[in-house]
Amino acid sequence: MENKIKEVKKEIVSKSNLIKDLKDIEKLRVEYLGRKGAVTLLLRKLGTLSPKERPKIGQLLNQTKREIEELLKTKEVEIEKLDKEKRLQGEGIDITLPGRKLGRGTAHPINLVLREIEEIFLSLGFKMEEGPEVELDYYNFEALNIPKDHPARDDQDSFYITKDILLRPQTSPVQIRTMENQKPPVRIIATGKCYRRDATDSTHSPMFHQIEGLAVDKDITFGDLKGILTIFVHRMFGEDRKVRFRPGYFPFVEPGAEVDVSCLLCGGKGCKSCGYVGWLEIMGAGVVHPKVLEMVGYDPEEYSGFAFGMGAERIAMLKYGINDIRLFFENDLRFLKQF
Amino acid sequence: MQVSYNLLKEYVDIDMSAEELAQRLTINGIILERMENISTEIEKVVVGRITAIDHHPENKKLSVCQVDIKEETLQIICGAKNMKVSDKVAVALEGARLPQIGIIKSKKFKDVLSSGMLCSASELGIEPGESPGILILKEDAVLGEDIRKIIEFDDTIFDFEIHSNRPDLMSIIGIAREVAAITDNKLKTPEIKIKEKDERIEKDITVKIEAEDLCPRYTGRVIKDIKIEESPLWLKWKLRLLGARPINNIVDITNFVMMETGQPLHAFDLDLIKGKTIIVRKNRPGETICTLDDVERQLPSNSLVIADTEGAIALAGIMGGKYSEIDQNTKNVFLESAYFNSVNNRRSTAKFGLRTEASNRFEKGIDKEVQIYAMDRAADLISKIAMGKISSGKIDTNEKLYQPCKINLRIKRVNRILGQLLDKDESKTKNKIINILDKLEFKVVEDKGEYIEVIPPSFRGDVEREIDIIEEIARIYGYDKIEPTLFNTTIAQEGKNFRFRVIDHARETLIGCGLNEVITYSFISPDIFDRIRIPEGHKLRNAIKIKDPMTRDYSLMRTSLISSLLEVIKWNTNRQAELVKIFEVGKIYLPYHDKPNSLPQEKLIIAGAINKTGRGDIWEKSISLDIFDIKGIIETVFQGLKVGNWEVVPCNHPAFHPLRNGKIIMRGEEVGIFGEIHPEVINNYRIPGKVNLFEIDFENLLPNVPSDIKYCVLPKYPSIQRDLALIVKEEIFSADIIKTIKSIDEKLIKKITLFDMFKGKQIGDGYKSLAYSVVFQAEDRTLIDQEVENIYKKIREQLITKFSAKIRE
Ligand SMILES: [Zn+2]
Repeated sequence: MENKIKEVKKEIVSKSNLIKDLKDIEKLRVEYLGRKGAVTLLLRKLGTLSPKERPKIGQLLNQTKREIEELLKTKEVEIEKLDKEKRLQGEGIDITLPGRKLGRGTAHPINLVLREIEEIFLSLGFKMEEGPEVELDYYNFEALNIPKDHPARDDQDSFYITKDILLRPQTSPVQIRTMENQKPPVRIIATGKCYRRDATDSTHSPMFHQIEGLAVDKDITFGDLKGILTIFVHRMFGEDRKVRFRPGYFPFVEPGAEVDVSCLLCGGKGCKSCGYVGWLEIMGAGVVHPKVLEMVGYDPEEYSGFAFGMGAERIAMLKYGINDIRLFFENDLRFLKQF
Repeated sequence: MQVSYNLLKEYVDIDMSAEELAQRLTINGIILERMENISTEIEKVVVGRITAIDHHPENKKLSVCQVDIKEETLQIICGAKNMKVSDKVAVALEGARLPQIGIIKSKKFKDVLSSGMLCSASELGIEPGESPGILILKEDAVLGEDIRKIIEFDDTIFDFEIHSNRPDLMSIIGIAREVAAITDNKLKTPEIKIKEKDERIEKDITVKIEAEDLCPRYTGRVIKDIKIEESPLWLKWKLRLLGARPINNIVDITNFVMMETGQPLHAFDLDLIKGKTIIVRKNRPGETICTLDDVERQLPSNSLVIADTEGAIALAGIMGGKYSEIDQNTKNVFLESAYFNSVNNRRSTAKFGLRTEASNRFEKGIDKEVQIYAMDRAADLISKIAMGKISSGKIDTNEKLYQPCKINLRIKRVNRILGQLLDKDESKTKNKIINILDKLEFKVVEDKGEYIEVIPPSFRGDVEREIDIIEEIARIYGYDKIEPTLFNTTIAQEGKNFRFRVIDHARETLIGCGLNEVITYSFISPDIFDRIRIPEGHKLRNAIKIKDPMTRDYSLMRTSLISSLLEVIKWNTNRQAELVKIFEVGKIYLPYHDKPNSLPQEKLIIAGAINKTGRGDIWEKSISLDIFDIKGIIETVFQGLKVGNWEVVPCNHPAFHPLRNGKIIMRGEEVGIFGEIHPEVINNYRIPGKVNLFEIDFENLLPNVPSDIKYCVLPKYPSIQRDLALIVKEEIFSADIIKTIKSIDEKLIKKITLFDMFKGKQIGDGYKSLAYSVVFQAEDRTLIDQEVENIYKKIREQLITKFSAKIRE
């Protein structure tokens, strides 16, 4: 009996090496452990043994049964693992195929620049305002200290609708409209479209965008103007940029200033894009003219302020290295998708 | 204003290079537009004297000149005719270098040797273009001397941009004065010595001012027995540096003195002034004048003219008349130096469309005191250069034109505006201010402690009040020396209001939907209405017209963004774009019918369009973009903005496919349109494929956007879902079916989703099959099947009665 058990064990070990799949395992399980299986038959024969032999053989037989069960279980796990692997092997894909995109669009570079500038001034406590693009001559000129027949009107050849209504050539009328509607302190920026009778070429466009700023309060000074605009330039163009203020003429500010930033390309050494002077003009600014304050009913003895204005196209061109203003309005997708 | 470095040096000592000077002026507010180095390459050109002139034996047009150049006498062949024996001339020697011509070599003209060349002014680079003859030098030119000793050929030309508030800088003296103030040097103005003859001016001329408001001051002199000639070399050279073209000595002198002093002058041929009378008056009706540029001009009303007893002989302050022009025959001149009203001059130049160096100065306002100085300067030069005899006496209709104005300048105010004491010590600040004002020729008449009384100089008509003086102080003190500071912020404001935030949100969503943002012109051409099928009389055709438009394309303000987006699609499909998905946030401009002179209504529009022609990549190829893509984009925007209650109704916008466009309605108001663009329109734009487009009226949308989000408690009880399939007539709208279902039990029916739709033979022509899933849920209990079954039954009954629907079980 003992020999018989050992034989069975040997037999199944050798047979187990031939197992190919789960069916083979099941077959072996039936063959040995099933109701008519070799081990089951041997177990049944236990009763025929003498009581002396019975416990020893019984123990051996049970152990063998467990060993067979374990062996088959191990084999089963092994086969399952192999099967899984085999299945995965068949599930290969080309991971270099394109992704199924929803696709993200782009913001227009001008709006990108406008938002960036707005964010800077919003963080400095300015408020966003807006005003009409089709504007009264009064807000455009007269209230800005540019009366009829003023030579400064030549600088801005405008599109007129009627004698008194025109397409605004600058965002400055928003200054006046804001001051007419509120008392100081005022701290606003306004962005938007402007129009001038310029024939289209690489640096001119009959429509363009401006950013306008105004701050009025008690004791605002030219020094404050320099302070705020210096922060702006550093945030917009980088901390290492130099800022230069030099006298400039705009009828609605006095003292008036032109603001230059050290050339973005050559860093101030002088190159073709800055005309070999090392500086790029980026905006006009100044202390609000007392006549302008008087006209909106502010007392210039009590209040003072500063204003500034810049062209979004110019800033965008400098910032992104764009050399032709027409690109902004042609809306070529190959251009737009770069932003 | 063009001027040169060497020229400026004659009026002020300059102890820095041209580049440094330009830099300093820029920092102090005088903008350099152009700087040009003229180092004319002239070598081996000397002064010679013609000793003999013979005809060339074979070519009569050529002269053979013997020219003494001190060391030797050269034989030079010359084509010009204006020289005579004993004239001094500029001789280019063998091997000489000339700017236009290059190296000069001896050569033979039909067997006659020519060793060198006699130079004209243009060949020496003194005159633009081609001079009529060779240059005759002054008698005192030293024989054999290098020409570069007579003319300083190396110089730097500055071209300054002069702002309209500083007409005083439109002169050499004006710029030199500024240089003097900036560099702390002294201005040197030319001294004038007038030698008057016995003959009185009154004998030859009387001046009558009939329009005193337009001509507040008129001064004049008579100079007789002049000799009209070419200008001397030095004057020609100066004009060249100033960018003017020499004409003859008298005209050149008046031009030069204008540019030197800023005072426009005009010389009339005295003998051609009829009645010996100058009348300054407004034009008469129907009057015409032939101006120097040979144009016969109609005079618009309120033109100021200089007339004699017979008629207009000059456009005052703009241009002289042809009739009294100075020419070769002129013997005696009347020199005019006047002050004309700037506003009227400006209006007239605009009316004539004629802007001259003179009008450019008058219209901005010239110095009220410089008339006599400029006139005498010119008279002095005429007497010296053209040998004229100055009659004694002068005309001056108003010696007291200039009325100095006194301005109080508060020292504290200077600091309050600039934000900084010029000096820490307050009394030193005052001294610094006075010092700066002194340099600018502003007179400090009295020191009243808290403030000083200042009189600006006559040439600074732009300085009218305290702030103007403060600017001058800041400018000369230097903007760079003013410390940047930050003001105290007292209040926090709402930086970006709701409207701006909603715009940003919509833009972000559209970008997230894969659309590229575009910006197009607000102008349109009237032709686009036909192109997008807008019928005559339609409200979209009622657009704002631009007066005198530049081109037809920029003649109206747009009333819709449809054509703008179609243009962009066309541009891109023309450039092989296979997928165009774009949007724009821009305004339209609608006139008010009832108020013709009021500002138009400006409405912000959000518009988008999609077009697909290429097959795209592996995933995209099976997807065609249609109206539901564009509608999906709108829905996504609304979803993002939490805009709920809206519905779509059919619309008949002429630009769209008649059966494929809809209106978006919120609370009974139209908020937008969308649909497939009409094939005819597509054809008009030559766009391949279909275009689906939407326009949302942002102004109507905004009131429907909730400003707050209100949280709803999550359901505690499970939901039950039932499917419902039905067959209805094709023309029945799914939205109406959904509305009907929902109306059966607004509370318990939570969600209705159309998940399938098809048409086909099996359900019959003119019918469609729709399948919905309906979700039921109660907030306070778990629904039981029977409850749902009851509602479901009612739904079916209602659909059958209302839409004659066939319910598919
Ligand atoms: Zn540079």
